Amino acid sequence: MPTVVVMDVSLSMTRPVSVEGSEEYQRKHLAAHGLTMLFEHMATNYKLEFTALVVFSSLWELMVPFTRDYNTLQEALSNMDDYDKTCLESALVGVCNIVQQEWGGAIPCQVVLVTDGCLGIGRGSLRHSLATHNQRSESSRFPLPFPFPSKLYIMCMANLEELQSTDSLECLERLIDLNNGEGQIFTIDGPLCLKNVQSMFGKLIDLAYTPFHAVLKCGHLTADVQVFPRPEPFVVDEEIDPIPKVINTDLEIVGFIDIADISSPPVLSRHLVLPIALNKEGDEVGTGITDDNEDENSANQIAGKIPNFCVLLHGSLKVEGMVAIVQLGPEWHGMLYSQADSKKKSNLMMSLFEPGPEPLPWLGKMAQLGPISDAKENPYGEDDNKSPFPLQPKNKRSYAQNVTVWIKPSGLQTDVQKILRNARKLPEKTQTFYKELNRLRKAALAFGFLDLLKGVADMLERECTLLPDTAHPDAAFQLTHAAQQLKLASTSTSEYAAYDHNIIPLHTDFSGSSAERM
Amino acid sequence: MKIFSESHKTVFVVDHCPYMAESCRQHVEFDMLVKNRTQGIIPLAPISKSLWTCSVESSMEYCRIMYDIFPFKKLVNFIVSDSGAHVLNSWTQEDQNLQELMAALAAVGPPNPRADPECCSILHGLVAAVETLCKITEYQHEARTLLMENAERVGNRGRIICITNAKSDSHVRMLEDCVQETIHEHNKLAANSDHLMQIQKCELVLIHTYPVGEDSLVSDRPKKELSPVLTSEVHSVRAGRHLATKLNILVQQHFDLASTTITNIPMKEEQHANTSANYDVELLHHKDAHVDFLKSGDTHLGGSNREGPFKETITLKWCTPRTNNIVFSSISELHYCTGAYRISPVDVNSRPSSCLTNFLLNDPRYKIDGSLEIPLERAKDQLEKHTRYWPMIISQTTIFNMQAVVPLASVIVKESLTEEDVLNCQKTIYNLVDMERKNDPLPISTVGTRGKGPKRDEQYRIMWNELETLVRAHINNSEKHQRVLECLMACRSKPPEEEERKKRGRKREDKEDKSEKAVKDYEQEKSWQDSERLKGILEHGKEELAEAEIIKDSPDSPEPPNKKPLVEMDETPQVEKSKGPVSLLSLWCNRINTANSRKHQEFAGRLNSVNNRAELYQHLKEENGMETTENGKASRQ
Repeated sequence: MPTVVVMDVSLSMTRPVSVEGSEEYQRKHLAAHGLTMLFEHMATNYKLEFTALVVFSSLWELMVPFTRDYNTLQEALSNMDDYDKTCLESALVGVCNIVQQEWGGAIPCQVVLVTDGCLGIGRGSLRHSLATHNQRSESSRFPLPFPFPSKLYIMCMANLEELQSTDSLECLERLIDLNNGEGQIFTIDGPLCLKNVQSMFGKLIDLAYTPFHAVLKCGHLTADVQVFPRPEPFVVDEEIDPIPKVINTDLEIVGFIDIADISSPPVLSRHLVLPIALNKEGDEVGTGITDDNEDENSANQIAGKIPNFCVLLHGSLKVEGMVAIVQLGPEWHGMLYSQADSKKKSNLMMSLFEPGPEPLPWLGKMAQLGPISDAKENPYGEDDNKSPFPLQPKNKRSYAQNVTVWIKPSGLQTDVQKILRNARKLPEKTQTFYKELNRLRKAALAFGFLDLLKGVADMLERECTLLPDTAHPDAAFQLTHAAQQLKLASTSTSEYAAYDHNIIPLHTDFSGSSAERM
Repeated sequence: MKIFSESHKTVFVVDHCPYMAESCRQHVEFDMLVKNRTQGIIPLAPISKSLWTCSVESSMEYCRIMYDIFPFKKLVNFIVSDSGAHVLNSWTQEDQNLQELMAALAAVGPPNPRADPECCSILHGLVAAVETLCKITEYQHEARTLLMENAERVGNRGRIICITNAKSDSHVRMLEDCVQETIHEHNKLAANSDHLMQIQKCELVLIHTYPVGEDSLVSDRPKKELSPVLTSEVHSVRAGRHLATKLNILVQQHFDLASTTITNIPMKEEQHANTSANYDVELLHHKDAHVDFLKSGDTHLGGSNREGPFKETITLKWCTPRTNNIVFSSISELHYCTGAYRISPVDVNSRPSSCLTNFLLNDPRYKIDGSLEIPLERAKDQLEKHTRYWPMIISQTTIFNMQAVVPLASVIVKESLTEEDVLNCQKTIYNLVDMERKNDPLPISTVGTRGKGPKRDEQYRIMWNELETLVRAHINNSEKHQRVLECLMACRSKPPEEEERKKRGRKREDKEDKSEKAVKDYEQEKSWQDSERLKGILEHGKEELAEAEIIKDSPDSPEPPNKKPLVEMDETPQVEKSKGPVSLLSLWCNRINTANSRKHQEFAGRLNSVNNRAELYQHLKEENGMETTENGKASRQ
């Protein structure tokens, strides 16, 4: 998940902080200190993640575009000038633009807003923005909620008492509300000092930037992995099941399935699965990603020499063209697969399905998937030339069952014409003729459209009179019979009007005895 | 959408009173002139649908779309009202399909225009609708059971769609009052019942329909809250296609649907089979499918507003898949997919729609039988067994590089073995013993080892150890697995006369070392051929059996490993140090084997030996020696 740090550089951030000792601090120094801590944490644990730095006052500026180079971010922190007043709305608009340009509207993004709780004055102040919130047109929409999945973390360089003395806290809480409640406000506990700022940023790190470590298991084979970005808790149903579901730290592979069978399923999110080497104390030695940093290299080199299940798994999935189904929690599954980055490089990735017993209808219930060897005969065939998937639904959808819809006249006309066409090809088309006739009959009965039955009966009788001399004698018999049956059905009292009754072809015999009968 | 929102339960109440038999006064030409017709024929007079027919086919279309997109958890109860209420189906999932409803409607038939209008009323149906909304659905029941003490979290909301012909606005108000009153009464009843639920929210959608060309006696009214429980809206709609359009709009509103039009789908023309024209097909689906579209601001909103303001559709251009045979395609790729949505064609019977859906359906034919045990648990169990012994690096395993081991390795992981499996395992073991006797090279990797790598008999020792590890990992699966281990233990070689062999071995050391080099890329086929050729020679070499054991702690022992005799020659059975405690069973077996060996007739070779030693492989020494040297050279290049 990319991060945008939005730093307030208005004059109020230069307010001095009384710290015991000789050196004088300003609030912006405290902010820079906290951000340094955040960047350092990310450089170690989130080195694949992109972060951008925006500064704002009445204007905003993108100081550092999205980067993985935390040194650049760090440098930018120390090169910030002081500007005029706080104007939050335009800065948030800026964040919208930056994120949408770089990531579009589907990638979740974290926004860390660092401010002192002075919300500006006059036009463009947060108070003004909120007061005019309801009077906006589509073109001047307030930037919250962000047009992408987001968390807004507001880091206040002020303590709670200070914020509560004005309406600042309320306004900031409104901001979180406007972001559909996605986010949190952090304030400094106790006096403003480096230590307390550290503890505030520590809380942010715990909440939003702790790496997700898990153990990937496949029978007796295991590997310690980091799942990146961290999978977020998921709420299935706000009403019945409001408790967010969190994925297991034991990721157990339950089986393997062909890519063609799982066929690009919808997923909630996707994550890199990176092997990590743990030393004896359980501390992380390093991720398995190649890195230029020399110190970490040695750890990586050691890790690189130990056979790792992730490597085996990734290679196998790639070669076999399969994915591994992994259990994420009770009635919650995901898949592990090899995703090609480029022609040469590919990664082991994990995607999360929506929780539930049957996330992918074409595979049926997850719990009903089992080993091939349990099946009486191999569902993939001896030559691997068939597949048991997709499963046929119990009730076919309307488009698969030839339903009758006569809402548009064309629907009705097509059905009548089909009957007519077949009527002219009697007796060759006897079966199709009666099939179409019965379909029409059933629908007409269900819709109570008895006039249609009479109309079609009349039509068949007329067709009978129009038969050419060359016509087979059976044609006339069948047409008359069909017309009679339709008329019987339209009187809606006889047994011939029953829905399940089918008109069956008249039994005729023209093989020799026909002359006598005529 | 919440599971138990208003859309969970929809009750259709359709008026079946005598006036519904009236014509909608919209004509349908059904006798269309077809090409090649005889001239001068007057087509039959057009017919028209009754108000009833229009109401029924429109509500069926509503249900069709709903069932397509929500095959589960969205339920319909169909009620027909005349002199009483006829409830045509129940909330159960089995009753939720078009066929059931069509059959029930056919049984009801069209309204009787000659019935006494005084006896008939839509009120019967509305009362029954409220009653049925109080009835619990299987999904509600399931959720309540699951939540136990939180059962009250399961909501009971519903929607009543009433299609009738009302007389006036005050008549409509009377119907609304009646519904409100009935809800009030039934909620009281439900409060004291275990199998009924109180209605928390009910949306009444009253549709007044009248013949085309008449003036409406009822005015439209948007949704209004009549009480905290009941909201009501009134739609006054002309019958015929106007009613169908209205219900199509409603189903989209009620189930949060949106429309996508797939454009430019190439389809073969019926008349000209070798040409293809492009068609568009409009589909309905849940509107979440458009969320990302709308967010991106890139709205391809089509301008096809011919069917009213609600018909906003997003257009997508058809892309023909690279291979037509989607199911059996060998080019299978995973694409990133953020959502998959069920669809329903707006115009289900049109040719382009059915062409598209038939292309996509691709009839699958197979179904998996569910057994009593949860298959997924069996799958996990199988993974557990398969991974009990699983070397992760090719160079760390010998047995998984050997074709000869496959018959055993593939069955030993099974939960239970057949007699045939056991026999195959035993054959595999005998075959390995045979290979050892014939001194076949093994595919042991020399990567990472300094110098020449292990000697031949050391290779076999490694191989046997590995095989034993594999088999031991499974001995608790069944008694037959035990038997495989017993066979293995009985057959694998043991180390006697260590020093003796060492002394002798040095002479041939060099030659052997070279052949070792060839081992890693040695194919089993080849070794088979070799061994076949050697068979005859070996007939003469049985004397060697006396020294059949492999020396455990001497990596430089050069002696070609031999088939260990089926019987133990030493008085005391040897216990391998490298392995853990020996089971009572194998102790016993060894004892028995020793006893049997005393009754064993000595081999001719051993009898003829000098100092219990016979010259072996006499021709082989020349022939094979040459060959291995060559191999050795080859492998070094």
